Amino acid sequence: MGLLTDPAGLRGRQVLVNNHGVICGALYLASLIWYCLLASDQVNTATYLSENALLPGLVVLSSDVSTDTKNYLKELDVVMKDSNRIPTSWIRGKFTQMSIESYVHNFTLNYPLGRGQQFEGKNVYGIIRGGGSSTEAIVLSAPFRNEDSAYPSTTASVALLLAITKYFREQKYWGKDLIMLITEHEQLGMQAWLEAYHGTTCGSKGVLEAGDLPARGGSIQAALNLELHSTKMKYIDVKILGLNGQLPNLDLVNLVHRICSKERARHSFGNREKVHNLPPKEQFLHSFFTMSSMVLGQATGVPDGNHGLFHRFGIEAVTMEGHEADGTGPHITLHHVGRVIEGVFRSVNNLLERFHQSYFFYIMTDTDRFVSIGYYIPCVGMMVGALLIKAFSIHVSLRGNIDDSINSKNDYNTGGVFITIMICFVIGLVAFQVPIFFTRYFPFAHNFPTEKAVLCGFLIISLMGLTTVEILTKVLGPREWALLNIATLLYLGTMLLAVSMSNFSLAFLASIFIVPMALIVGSKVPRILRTLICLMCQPLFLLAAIIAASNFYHFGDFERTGPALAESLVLTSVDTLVYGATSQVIPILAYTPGWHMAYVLCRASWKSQKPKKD
Amino acid sequence: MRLYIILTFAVHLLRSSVAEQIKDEYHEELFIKPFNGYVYTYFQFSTVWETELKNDTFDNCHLFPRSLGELIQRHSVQELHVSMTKGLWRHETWGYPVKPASPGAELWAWFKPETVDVNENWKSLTGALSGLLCASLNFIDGTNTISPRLSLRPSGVVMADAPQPHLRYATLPREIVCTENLTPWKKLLPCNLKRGLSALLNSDHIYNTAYHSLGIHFRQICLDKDCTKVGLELVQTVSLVYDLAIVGRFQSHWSIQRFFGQGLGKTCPLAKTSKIIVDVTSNKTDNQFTLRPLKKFNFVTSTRSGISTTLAILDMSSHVSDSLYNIEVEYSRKKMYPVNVPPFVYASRYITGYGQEFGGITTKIHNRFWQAQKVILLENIPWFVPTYLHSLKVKHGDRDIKPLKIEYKPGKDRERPFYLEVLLEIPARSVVTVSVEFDYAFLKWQEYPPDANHGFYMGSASVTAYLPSARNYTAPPRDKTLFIDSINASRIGYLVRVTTETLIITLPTPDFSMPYNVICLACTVVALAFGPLHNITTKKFLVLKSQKKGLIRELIGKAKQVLKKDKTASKEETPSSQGESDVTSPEKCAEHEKSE
Repeated sequence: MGLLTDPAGLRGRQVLVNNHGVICGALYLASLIWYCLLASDQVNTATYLSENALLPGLVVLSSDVSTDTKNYLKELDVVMKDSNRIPTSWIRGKFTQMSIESYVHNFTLNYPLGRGQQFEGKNVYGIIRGGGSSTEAIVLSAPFRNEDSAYPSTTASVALLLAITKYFREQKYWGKDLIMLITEHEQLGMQAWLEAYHGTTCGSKGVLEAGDLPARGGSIQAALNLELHSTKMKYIDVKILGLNGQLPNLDLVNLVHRICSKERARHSFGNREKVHNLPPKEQFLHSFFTMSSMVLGQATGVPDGNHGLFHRFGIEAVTMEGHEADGTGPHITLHHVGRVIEGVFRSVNNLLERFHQSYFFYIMTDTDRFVSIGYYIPCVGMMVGALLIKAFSIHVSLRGNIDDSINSKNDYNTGGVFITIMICFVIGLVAFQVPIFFTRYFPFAHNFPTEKAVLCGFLIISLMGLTTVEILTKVLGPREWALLNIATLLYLGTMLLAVSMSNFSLAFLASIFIVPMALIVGSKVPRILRTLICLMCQPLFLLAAIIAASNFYHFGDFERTGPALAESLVLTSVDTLVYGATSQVIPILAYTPGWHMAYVLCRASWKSQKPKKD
Repeated sequence: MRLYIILTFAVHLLRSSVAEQIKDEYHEELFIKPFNGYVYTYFQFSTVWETELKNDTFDNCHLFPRSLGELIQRHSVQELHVSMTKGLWRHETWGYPVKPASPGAELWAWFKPETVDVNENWKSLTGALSGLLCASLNFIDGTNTISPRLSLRPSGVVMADAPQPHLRYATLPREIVCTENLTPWKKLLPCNLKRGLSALLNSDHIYNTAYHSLGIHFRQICLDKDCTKVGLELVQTVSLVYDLAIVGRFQSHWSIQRFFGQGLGKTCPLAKTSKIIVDVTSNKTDNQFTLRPLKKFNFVTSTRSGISTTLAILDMSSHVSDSLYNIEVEYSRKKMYPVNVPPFVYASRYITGYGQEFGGITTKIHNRFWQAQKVILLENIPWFVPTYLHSLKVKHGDRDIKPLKIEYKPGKDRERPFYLEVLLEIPARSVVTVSVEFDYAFLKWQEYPPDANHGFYMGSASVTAYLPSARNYTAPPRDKTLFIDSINASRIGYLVRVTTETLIITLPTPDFSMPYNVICLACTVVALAFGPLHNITTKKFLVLKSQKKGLIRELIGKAKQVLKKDKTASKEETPSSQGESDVTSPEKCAEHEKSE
């Protein structure tokens, strides 16, 4: 405050203004270094359970479900040969034998792109009524995958779910209802079930018709999703990433890890197990790669399991994925996993309040270490700080110019700047309508495959954006550029901060590209370099580059980049329409206008320098 | 010895004289009905006293519990219903209970028409009952009490031309029921828990159930058809539902011994009748069972409006010996999954929406009867869940249904709950959803309970219907007292009250460790803001023209300035300084700079 009100402070500001280039660069580097430091054991902290009511591992676990599971597995294998669909009657029959009420939930997906095909699916669930009055519930779910599925089989988890249900049914200590859910069509089935349970629609209306549920069990406190690929497992991976980068409460994650440890089940986070007593350097690298894998995963905003869809509804959920053990040697059996589930459920059953004690914003650096929001948010803070300082210094120099030419005519074309910004936003809005327009309403759209139509649509919009910018540059003079530059910097800074509130990883990774671009577009860097850097940050180009890089990392070549790009564009738009994901909202509605503003600046300076040379 | 004989004789005389004065009788009944994997046991202890409800009736009690009588007398209560329940009655699989009760505590009372201050009496009554039953009934006050106009009617005798009595109804959905409620409850029984059927109510065993409910029901009744004789009726009930999967470890075999941990003994000597009634209707289906001891049972077929049930009745007074005996049921096959026949009308309720922006309550009412049914839905919504009447939607599929009547009283913050009663007709064989939207209110920070994140309870709604068929119906008719009177008691209609789930709502809850952080932050902000604000308000501002300087020159200039300041400070030590006030200091600084 002193800086703004004390006239003597003006001089102090000058330091900031004169050296803003160095300061911004330093902040950028400091942010990157701070991020690396998070992997150090000096910065991150060991996890602990905040909620006392969980009392993990306090009860004696007595389930032994391996025999039952194997029997169910044998039957299921036979049943699955008859049909490709989820064997609803077989599962319901099993539930009835355990004297559990069971229900089938039907849902329909009206595919939002292209010709509007319809897909149908079914979920089956049974409810074990606890001793309470159905005010609270816990969910145990398993996805059903048929033999044609692209993903590894989950029949073991379906069988285990049934076996543990049988065991749970005979226990008298349940205070909450237990909902045993088997879903079809991966996340679609789960989303439909959750929407039906809560009587809402999260995506666009009319896309996913969730229908209604015949029975419910009150407010869901926690959910555990099982993806066991085999009866013999090497380790259990605890997956936490949710839709739009949401995470479950750290207490639940800790609980699962802790009970895994207690039951001597090997467990991992991000497929990386904890290695005890590593030398500091190796520990640092181990933590760094674990942390980075989580950041990369979270940035996509795509859930890495069915658990990720629960988070929106205020339900804490994780997935336990059992990876198949190859060959002989020590392995985890279904008995272990059954015990872990029992332990987790009994702890959650103890809960008096919903999960609220521990962190909702964190980054795991190991199975038992994490970085809390207080430590990681400075990364984004410094990035945004660089943008703000730059904006501030431009503002001050602009004011200096005013003071210099205090008597000369002082006509700013603020209207022009405003219109330019608005046009940039309109480009974003138009681009957002691309997937539906180009696959449905565009003439000849039906002759194209959806992927190609969407890719072409985005290419056309990108070119249109670039042309619009060429027109816009003619409107503004050098003074307006400064104003536009300030607006661009402030806008991008605000956007990054807002995104970091919900998805730190996305904001941080985006800022690595966006911040240099935003700093450079209005600076004295050679204009060719400036334009090149700016063009490289073009949303579509950036996405293509990221996909190419990941292709190169996974397959060693760039061959599949084109189809993968088209596919990812379609998938993100479908995610937005079905799940209400922000994976397309943020890049298109938020980033695209910002980039166009920056590109206007780039091209404007290019234009202005030409006449001088001539 | 002689003295003892004389004394006992005197006591006998006294007793018989009191008994002659007070015409009352006491009955014990136990009704057992096996369901699909569950067994419903219902105890009914009824006291009927031929007297009028006067201001001094309870000065002299015989079998009627005096402690309760005094409460009734003092608060001019005409009819009283209290129930304390754990668990939810699953209408879809269990049919209708004899006495419906919502989860938690439920209390409603009719006060005499001439009562002066009903609310004062209600408050005092709940307080007294709270003491009598060791329950938190004293938390009932204006904020959770309603007076439904349609759903509840006095079940006892009301003079046709007399003014209407006053009704107060409240639920405490969060109330937990346990042994501390059973102990005072059993003290109201004439034989306590020592003899008779009540001896079975051992707290070791009856809390092992899927549902249990204690009830006290007091009303005035007619003792003959023309109502020339009136009486008081007190019915104390215990409803228990045993889950065979838990109690019997999946064995379908069950017995009194297994449920209550002990056999049946001698009857209560004060009881006029003691009977055990077992519903053996399901024996006709595929999985046969044997009831033992078969010889003691007397089989009766009861037909009510065309629905016949077979009841096995055992008169406990026929058992004269002191030894304990058991009642067992053994099935021919090990497991049984008979097809479930749901009752005609039942309902379920849930919350829609997520987050804390908007929410909705949806009640689904099922009608499986082949005729349209008129039902009354009663909603008692707490004040912190403000609902909007305009958002009330009654739908059958996509079609809107127009309610026949709506009674609504909006709630007031911290004063009274939202009361909504809807009379509607449900088409034959259909499901109607009644939904209403609400906001999540912000509470004051002291209004949160210690476990704020548990959520807030919303009491159950109730659906009242007048069914033309007695399927799944067990209760005795309204004009009779004893359960045994329900045999062959056909009536035009059968009144059922279906209670729904209680709901938990997560209101916006502050982080209660936050106040400390907020205090720290606020203090810092105030401290930081104070200096500049003070400067702004006390100093004069001048706009200076800035001069651009290099960093090094700037530093040198600053150093010089500091040196000069030191000098002026030493000058100012002398009392007659130049008299420059603080206001001009910026100017001064500027002058210094210019001079440089």
